[in-house]
Amino acid sequence: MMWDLANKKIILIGGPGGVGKTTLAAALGVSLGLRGYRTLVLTVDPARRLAQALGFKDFAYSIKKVISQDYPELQLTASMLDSEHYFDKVIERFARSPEQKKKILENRLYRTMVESLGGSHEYAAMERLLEFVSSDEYDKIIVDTPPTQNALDLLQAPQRLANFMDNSVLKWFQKKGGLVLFQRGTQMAMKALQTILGSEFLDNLAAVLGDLEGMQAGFRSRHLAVMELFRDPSSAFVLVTQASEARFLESVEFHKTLQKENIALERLILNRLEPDFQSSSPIELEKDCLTWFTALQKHFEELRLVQQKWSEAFQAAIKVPTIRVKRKSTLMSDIHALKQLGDELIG
Amino acid sequence: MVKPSYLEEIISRKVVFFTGKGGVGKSAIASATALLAQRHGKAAFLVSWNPFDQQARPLPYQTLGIPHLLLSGPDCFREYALNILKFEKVVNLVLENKVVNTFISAAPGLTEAVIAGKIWDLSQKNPDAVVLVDLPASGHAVSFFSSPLGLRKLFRMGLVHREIERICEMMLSPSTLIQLLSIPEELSVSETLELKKKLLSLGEFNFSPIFLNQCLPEFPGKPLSKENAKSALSGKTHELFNYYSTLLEQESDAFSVLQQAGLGIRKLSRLSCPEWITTVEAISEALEHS
Repeated sequence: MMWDLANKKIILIGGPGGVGKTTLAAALGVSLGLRGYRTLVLTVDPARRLAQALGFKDFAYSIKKVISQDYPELQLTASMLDSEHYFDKVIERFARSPEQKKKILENRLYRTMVESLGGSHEYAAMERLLEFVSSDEYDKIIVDTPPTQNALDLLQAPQRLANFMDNSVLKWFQKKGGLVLFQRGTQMAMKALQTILGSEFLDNLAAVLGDLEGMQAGFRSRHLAVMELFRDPSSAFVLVTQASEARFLESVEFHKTLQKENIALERLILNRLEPDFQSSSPIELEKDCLTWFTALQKHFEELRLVQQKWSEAFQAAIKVPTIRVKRKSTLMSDIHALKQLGDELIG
Repeated sequence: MVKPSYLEEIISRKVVFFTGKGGVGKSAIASATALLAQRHGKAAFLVSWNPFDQQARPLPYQTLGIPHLLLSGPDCFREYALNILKFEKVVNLVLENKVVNTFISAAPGLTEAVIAGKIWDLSQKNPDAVVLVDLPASGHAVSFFSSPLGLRKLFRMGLVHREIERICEMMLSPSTLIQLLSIPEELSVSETLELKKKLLSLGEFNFSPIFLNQCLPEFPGKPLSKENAKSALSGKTHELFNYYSTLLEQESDAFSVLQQAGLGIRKLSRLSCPEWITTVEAISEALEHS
C-alpha cells in the first residue's frame, strides 16, 4: 500500500521509548529527500551510528546538510537538539529585558527546575519545530519526538510551563506579606504549605517565579500554536510501536489521547516484526546440528506467532492504516540502508 | 572471590531500583525478581510510579501474587502533608486550593522527593522485606535521583532539609542497589552507559551487574558453522541462519562494549512466551541461575 505524503508538510513520529523511532525518522527523511523534497529531520539525541550514517562525525549538536556520495541528489538536512541548552534560548526569547534574562539564567534553582520540571525536552522540540515551520525553508519536516509515556506529555509541554507560571501564584509572591489580596481560604492554605515545606523553600521558589514574571503569555501562545499545527491537515501524526503485550495498553492510550485532542492518527507502524522464515525444503544435517537448527527455527517461529497475535490485537484496537515493518538484522549504518527502509515505509 | 549470585545480592538489600531505556523489560524483570525473592522466603514489594500521574498500565501483579503499590505524586504529597499537619481537614484545605495546587505541581523536585520519601517509609516499616522499584525510563530516572540530591545543596536547614537528608541517605546507603538493564542493541547500550555515568556524577550509588536482556537463547545440540550452513542450507533456511548470525554479532558487540566499560554483565535470553505473566515466571526461573 502506498503512503501518500504529497500533501503533508510535517510528519511527527511518536511512540514509546525503544521502538525504533529515530531510525524510522531518519529513513523517512532519506527517502523523501531523494524524491525531490527539501527535507529536514529534527531529532533529539540520536544514536551514534545513526549520526554517523547521516554524516555527522562529531557529536556537536547542530544543524547540518547530509552529504552522500552515492546519492548526490539527496536534499536532506538533519538537526539535532540539545534540549537543555536550548531551553536557555527559550528563556532568552521570552524574557522582557536583558536584566530579566540574566537574573533567571543565574538563578541557582532555575537549572534544577528545568531538569526536574519534566517536559523540557518536549518543550524544546516543539519550540524548534515552530521555528522551522515559520521559516518555509523545507517541504517536509520529520520530527523524531522524544520518547514519552503519553502523547499528552508532548502536546501539553508548553501548557504545563504556562501553568507553572500561573498568574495567581506569581501574584502571591509579588505581594509577599500582602496576603490580604487573597481569599481567606488561599491565605490559610498557603500558610499551611509554608509549614509543610519550610519558608526557605518557598522563598527560593518565589525568587524564580518572580523572575519569570510576564513570560507565561508567551508559553501559552506557543501551546496554542503547537496544537493548531498538529491538527492541521498538512500534519501527519505517526504512532510507532511494537507488537507485544507490554506495548499494547500504552499504545492504545496514546491513540485515545490524540483522539481526545482532535488530532488524527495518520499511520500505525508496527516495527521490528520477526520475518517469516518458514520453509518446506528438507535440511540435511548431522543429528546434533539438526537438533540445534530445529530449535533455532522453532524459537524464531514462536516469536513471530506471538507478534502476529498482538499485531492483530493492535489493528483491532487502533483502526488506522497500518504499516508493518520487518525487523532488520542488518545495521542501519549508511544512507543506502536508510533509503531502503524509508522506501519500504512509503511504498 | 566468587561473584555473589543475583539472589544473594537482592535478598541482602532493602531497596532495589530497576532502570534502563524504554522497552528493555524493567517491569518484567522487577516482577520476576519479586517472585524469586518470595520463593526463597524473602518478602518483596513492587513499587512503580508514573511521572505525570497518568494511570499506569494495570499489570497483572495480583495473578502473580506480588504485593504492588502504584505511587503518584499527589498521593505521596498528601501523606507527607498529613504527617506534618496531623489533621485531615487542614490537609484537604491545602490540597483543594487551586493556587496551592499549581504551586505544588510547579515546585522543582517535590514530586520526586515525596515519592522517594514514601519508598523509604515503606522500607522502614518492613525491615525484613526488599522494596523493588520499577522506575520510569532513563531520563526520568535521572531526575528522580538528581532532584533530592540537588535540593540537598539548596536547603541547609529546616524541615525540608531533614526530609531530604533522609532520602539522600537511603539512596546512597549500601543496602540500596541500582539495577541497570539493557538489550543487546547499540542504542540501548549507549543510553545505559550514559545513564550510569550521569548517576555516578550525582553520587556513589551501588550498582549490581547489568542485565543484558533479550539475548539469543542457547539452543541444544551443536551450533552450525558458517561454512556448514552455506553448504547444507538454502533459501529461507539459509536466510534464517544469516539473520541469526547478524543478531549474534550485534549481541557480542553489545557485550564487549559493556565489558570494556568495566560493567559486570548478566545475560537473559529472549523468551517467546505468548503472555506477559508466563514471561515473568520464566524469567524468574532463569534468575535462579544468574
